Amino acid sequence: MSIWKAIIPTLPLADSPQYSLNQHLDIKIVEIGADYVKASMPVDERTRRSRGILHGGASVALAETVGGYAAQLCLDADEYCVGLQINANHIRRVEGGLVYAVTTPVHIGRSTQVWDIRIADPQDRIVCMSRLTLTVMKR
Amino acid sequence: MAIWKHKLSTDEIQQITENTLVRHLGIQITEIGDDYIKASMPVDHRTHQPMGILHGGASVALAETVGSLAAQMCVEPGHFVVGLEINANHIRSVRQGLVFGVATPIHIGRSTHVWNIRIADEQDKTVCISRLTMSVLKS
Repeated sequence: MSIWKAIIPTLPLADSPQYSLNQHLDIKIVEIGADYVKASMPVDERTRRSRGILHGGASVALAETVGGYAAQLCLDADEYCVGLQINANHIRRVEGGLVYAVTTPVHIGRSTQVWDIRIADPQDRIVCMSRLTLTVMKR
Repeated sequence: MAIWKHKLSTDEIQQITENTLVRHLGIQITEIGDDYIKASMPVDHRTHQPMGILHGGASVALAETVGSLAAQMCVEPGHFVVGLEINANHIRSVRQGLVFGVATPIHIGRSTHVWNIRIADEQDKTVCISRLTMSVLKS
């Protein structure tokens, strides 16, 4: 059974403004499952650090984007949520290609939500593991 | 007394951040003190989330950038640093202007570093507090 309360957009992120960090880093929602959301991000000059590897901050930007997006889909129409806390363990370096983030819920409460985000390379080797805490607010 | 073992010049920082996320988000190192580094980041289309406020992931990207640069300046030649873990508490939202990240050391060891990063707005109100763990590796 699906966990989503909101109507799943046919074009994910289509309603977000053209100019935001998500677009600037070319983060794309690629799949919405019954209880997970998957997004992709390129590893290139927009997301690398020195030494030509993925910047840890880019991994966290991807994690917070996909986790925040999934959290929004679990809210009533008069609610919105904001990130309170995030952590991330950087596990494996990546030099190019795409990375994929899959977010799954740990807790979907009335006032807080907690989401796990696993970032992996195209061979599904883990790159980064993150946990995001969000607070639910009334509009 | 300064803590730096290998202080980078502005030119060197410009060189190592070329073609990276750091430039792509408009992050600039503005000050290198005896025991801290300060960097600025614009709050605009590059770092907004879809609601038009600073994206939490952008805050973490700034934190990881300024913390890693500080750590890199505290290792002996022939060594480099990579991020192991980062966490961040998002405290205040920002719509526009600049935010400033200041990294100060908590622990500078031979194999690991721990850095504290405080991000504040132009009125010096806390926007985000982050702690970064770095691993020191041989080149």
